[in-house]
Amino acid sequence: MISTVKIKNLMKNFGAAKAVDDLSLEIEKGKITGLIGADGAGKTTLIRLIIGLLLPDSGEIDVLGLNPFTQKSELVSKIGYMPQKFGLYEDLTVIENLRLYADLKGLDIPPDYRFEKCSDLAEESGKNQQNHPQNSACGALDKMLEFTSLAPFQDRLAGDLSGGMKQKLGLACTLVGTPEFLLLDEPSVGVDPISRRDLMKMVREMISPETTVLWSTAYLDEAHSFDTAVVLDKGKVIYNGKPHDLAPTPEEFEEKVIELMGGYKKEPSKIAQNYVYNNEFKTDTSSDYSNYADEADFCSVEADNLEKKYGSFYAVKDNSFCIKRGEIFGLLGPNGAGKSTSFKMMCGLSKPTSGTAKIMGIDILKNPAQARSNLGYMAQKFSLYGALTLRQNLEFFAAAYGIGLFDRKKRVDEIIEVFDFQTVQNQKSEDLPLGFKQRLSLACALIHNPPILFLDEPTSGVDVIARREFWNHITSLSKKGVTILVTTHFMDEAEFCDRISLFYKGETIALGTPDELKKKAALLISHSDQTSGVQQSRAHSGLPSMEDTFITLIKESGK
Amino acid sequence: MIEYLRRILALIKKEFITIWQDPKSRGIIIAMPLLQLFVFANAITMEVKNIDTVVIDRDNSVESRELLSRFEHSPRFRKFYFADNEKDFQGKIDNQKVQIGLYINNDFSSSVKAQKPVSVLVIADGRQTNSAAIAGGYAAEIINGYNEEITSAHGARINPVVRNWFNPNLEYRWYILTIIIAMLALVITLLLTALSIAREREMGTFDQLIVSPLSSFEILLGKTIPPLFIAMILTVLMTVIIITCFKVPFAGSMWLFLVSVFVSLLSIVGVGLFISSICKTQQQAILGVITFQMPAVLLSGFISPVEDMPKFWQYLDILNPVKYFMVLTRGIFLKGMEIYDVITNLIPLFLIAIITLSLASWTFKRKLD
Amino acid sequence: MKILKSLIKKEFLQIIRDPSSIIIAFVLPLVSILIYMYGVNLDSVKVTLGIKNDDANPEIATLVKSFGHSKYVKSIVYDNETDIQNAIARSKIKGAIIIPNDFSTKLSRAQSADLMIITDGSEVNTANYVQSYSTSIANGWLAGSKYKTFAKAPVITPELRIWYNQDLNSHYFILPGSISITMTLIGILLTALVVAREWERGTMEALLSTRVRRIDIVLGKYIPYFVLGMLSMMFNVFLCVVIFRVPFRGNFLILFSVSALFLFTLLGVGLTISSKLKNQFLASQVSLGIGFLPALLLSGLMYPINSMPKVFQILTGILPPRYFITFIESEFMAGTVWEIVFINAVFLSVLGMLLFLAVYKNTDMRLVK
Repeated sequence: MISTVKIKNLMKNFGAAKAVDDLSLEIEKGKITGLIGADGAGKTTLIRLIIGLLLPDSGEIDVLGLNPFTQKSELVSKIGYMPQKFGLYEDLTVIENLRLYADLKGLDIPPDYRFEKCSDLAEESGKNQQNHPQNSACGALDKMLEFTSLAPFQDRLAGDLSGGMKQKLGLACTLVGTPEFLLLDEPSVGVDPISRRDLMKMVREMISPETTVLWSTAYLDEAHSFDTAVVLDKGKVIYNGKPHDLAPTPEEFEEKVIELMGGYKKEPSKIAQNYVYNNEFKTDTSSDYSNYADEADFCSVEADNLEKKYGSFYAVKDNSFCIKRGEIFGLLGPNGAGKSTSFKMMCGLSKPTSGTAKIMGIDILKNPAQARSNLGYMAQKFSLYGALTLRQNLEFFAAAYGIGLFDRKKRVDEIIEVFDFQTVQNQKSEDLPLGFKQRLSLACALIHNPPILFLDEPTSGVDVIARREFWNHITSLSKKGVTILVTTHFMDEAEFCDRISLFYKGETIALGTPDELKKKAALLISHSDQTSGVQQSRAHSGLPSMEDTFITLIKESGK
Repeated sequence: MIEYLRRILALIKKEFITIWQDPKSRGIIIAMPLLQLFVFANAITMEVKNIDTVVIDRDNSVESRELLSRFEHSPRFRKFYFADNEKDFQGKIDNQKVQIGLYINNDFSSSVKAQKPVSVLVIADGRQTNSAAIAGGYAAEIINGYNEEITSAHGARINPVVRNWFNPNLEYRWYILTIIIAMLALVITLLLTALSIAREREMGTFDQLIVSPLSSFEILLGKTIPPLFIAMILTVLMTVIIITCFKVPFAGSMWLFLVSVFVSLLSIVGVGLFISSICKTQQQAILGVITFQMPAVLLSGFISPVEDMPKFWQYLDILNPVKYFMVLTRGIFLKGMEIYDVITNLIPLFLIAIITLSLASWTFKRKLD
Repeated sequence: MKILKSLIKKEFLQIIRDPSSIIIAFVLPLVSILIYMYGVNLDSVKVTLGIKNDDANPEIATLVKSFGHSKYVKSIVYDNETDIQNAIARSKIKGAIIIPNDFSTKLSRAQSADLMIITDGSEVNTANYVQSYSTSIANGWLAGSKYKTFAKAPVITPELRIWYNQDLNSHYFILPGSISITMTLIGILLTALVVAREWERGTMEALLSTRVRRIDIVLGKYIPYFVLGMLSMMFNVFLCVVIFRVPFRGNFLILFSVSALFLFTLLGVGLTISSKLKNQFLASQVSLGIGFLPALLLSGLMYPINSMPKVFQILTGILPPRYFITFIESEFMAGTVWEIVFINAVFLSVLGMLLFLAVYKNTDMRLVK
């Protein structure tokens, strides 16, 4: 076996914390290796050590026969690295980003390279002379743009791209210059299933068979499809081998990995137990909602013909739904389909062009303070005060939601106990590991026992165990009567929803329970089976997986 | 009402922790103004000292040497170069080796003896027009003094008897310190406010605030009070230092002074928050601050009086909080300004504060889209 | 080389995308020159004076009148001293003249007559103007009055000449000087955030994993902002020389060469702050805190450096605008004086190189955390 990376007894500490602890590892050439592990297990640190962005405290690393400590400048010309924030210049256009990275990788492309121009050149040279060096580099970029379907957007600013497209562009920038060794740090975070498949396809098709790939991911189904899986825990390798050796199916693989990482035992959610559904929640007393005898007809969250227009472009069109008390309602859809916009309109962060959003029957725009006091909100990326300690954040949000001084201390103590924050309560929250940050966000959202929770991609980038715990809390909370609106890109999470609204191009293309959607997709698939005669894989139940459902329904609607 | 106060208190506490938590940021906010106060107080002077002079004495007589010795005894003049020829003389001035040139012609002593009018040429370096005029004035004073000595009979003449009120010796330090207080308070306040909203926007925490039941008025108060408080403390601290260490007498009412500083800072907080609320990034915010700060300081009347400016700038200056701020600090500090005059200056400051703060709060809401 | 070229290109594209830097490079000079041109006036300040005449002699009424005729003075006649006191306290008048009742008697006896001049010492500059205007108006009146026969012409008179700025037009020195203040702001603010921004947004991590060398990163930041800064500099000079007709006696090649050195130093200040702190918030605080006031107050434009205590004179040595002001004033007003060009160019180069080294050293090629 030829190894691209050989690591021996590697150590790296940040202060007292051990990020990488006496780690030894070899990564095989020409293979795709998945790097899996809980948050704070040391994945990012390991990748940074491998390319020499961090200096190890001790131990040896050999990458492509080079020492990243002393020979970083030679090493970097052979690798492609996509950091978590993917390093795009948001104020540069797609083509400008690509040209910049092509230049930095030493590719020979004309300075005014554009998509059409180059293909013209290529055509000409195809007639005249073959393999002109300039045009081969040019061709590579052309291929990249075509493959990522970014070509039509080449003049758009990177900052204006949707999440999935940004990720594709980031990957494209990493892939230019055909690196021998590709390192991707969670490239599929926050990306919808379709884009995720595209990313995977890109990597598999754009690299040569000799290229080594190190891919860190939170998606275990993704990791299962790789050649090798390396599981990290507390800075140590706890598994290194073929994913199929561990388990034959992605589902079982997930269970095995969880077991390796210490296991997850479903326990009754302390958070839900602690939650008190307050029947005196401020509904709009002036309206006749309070007279509704039958609670079943009452919408906790209601969207009525919500629309958002930018010029003549509809970001969201004619969106209506009613979420009943205790329901988990999922907003799903590809990046840029308008679910974030809908979500923002629901919590009053964005003004709809027309239509209304109501929380417990209260119009969010007409009476924002009252409507919002019923609401717990968890933003997509960590957006609590990094400078404040965990405890101070809780105290702040408790007060912001109007909890009195004496109740506040009690409530914060309670929350800290319920969430197991005792050991970290006085740490600055920006220094917390991602898993803690995410739980802190949930804690802040729940501090005032709201009857309604809004969760915007709450589990982006969170490891599998933390996700399971999180969803245990969410489902338990819903059983206690909390109404939940959630967006997610994890299709297994979508299964937890009572109802799903599938978004595409600003419109709801399907609305129903997960099973209803699957049945709808199954019909379409069997229909296309009959016409095309292609056999599709099915789960045992005879219904397609949630991911296949998602993709089928989106593609059908796109026709 | 209690709930309302509670929420605002929480916001204030959060701001304080955010500002205070980072030792670097804390250091900048406290040390920088105090250090600058100390340096400015000691370094800035309008007096021209250590004047170096180049001399051509074509007369080389008892009288001419007597005149020159008056220069040598003056504490303001330092070094003297005696040039042999005009070229050397001019070279010394060109190279800024000296600030003043004295040229005594060869008829000097004979004219003095005959009591015939004669002039001494004083050349000042106009490249530093300010100090040139002052240094030239000193030289003229010495020459006039010598003239008095040698003139036997005095005729009718006007003897100006000058009384400088509020600052008998016209100490420049008294003047500049009461102004620097306002300028440094301006810098601190802008530092604390101009980035605060832009930064929360970049970090995403601003959304979190908007989604909470906090109203934009409450958010505004939460953003206003901590910078106001910190700037107020620092301004008072600087005032105490100026009174005790730099011995500038405080003539007015301390209460009026504190109220004036408070209202002035409030209006600057308003401007800072307004800039912050319209900027998308921190880069834009600091560029915005500078575009406000530079004209505000230059047109505040400290370099040249506001009444002397063209009408256009004067009208624009109605909106300049720094102008009123300086009138108040200087007026109360040195002149013991009365309540009536304090109030006339406070009213525009109040209006500026109300306008900018409402604009800022309005922009929070508008920015939702 | 290719890498550097594409980094520079990238930076230019970013500059164009967020026009705030371009605005600052061209709007700030325009605003600042308009302010210095029209808002700042150092040579002929107009003051309002109160006059109280206790001398009933009709000849003295002409003295009161001549105060009214001066183009620098606006006079208001008062009957009693309490009114004068109030008017000065309220800043209605900047000073007052009191003519004693024996004024004419003393003059007609060929004696020295006292003229009481009261100034508002809280505004030291204006107080000085009040003194010198009043004295010269009174002397001018004496020379034309019937008492001139009793006056005796002085034997020795100083003849003051201001070289390089014969008309004593303060704009001729303050406009070139203002360029150096404006450029200090522009140079520092343009670059203070640009490195910190790349660290915060994660693009630096991506850059560091390519073949980019340290020198590429450093020059990739210096060169684009140098070009922008030079354009801004040229715009400044264009406004000064072409639009506002400030006489330029020097050589443009030399002017722009030294300007280039100056800019090199300033970019070094901004980039050092940025690469050292790696945090936009702190970098903004530091550059706002140090950018403006020291350059305005300690660079020698407003206050003579020569008169400062030795320690502070040395301290001003670290301020790049100090050298540039000396140079640019001289280049504009006296033409090229090689010694001045040389000394200041050397100091700027040394500072610039030290800062360049600091930037180079602080440009991390690895992550710390």
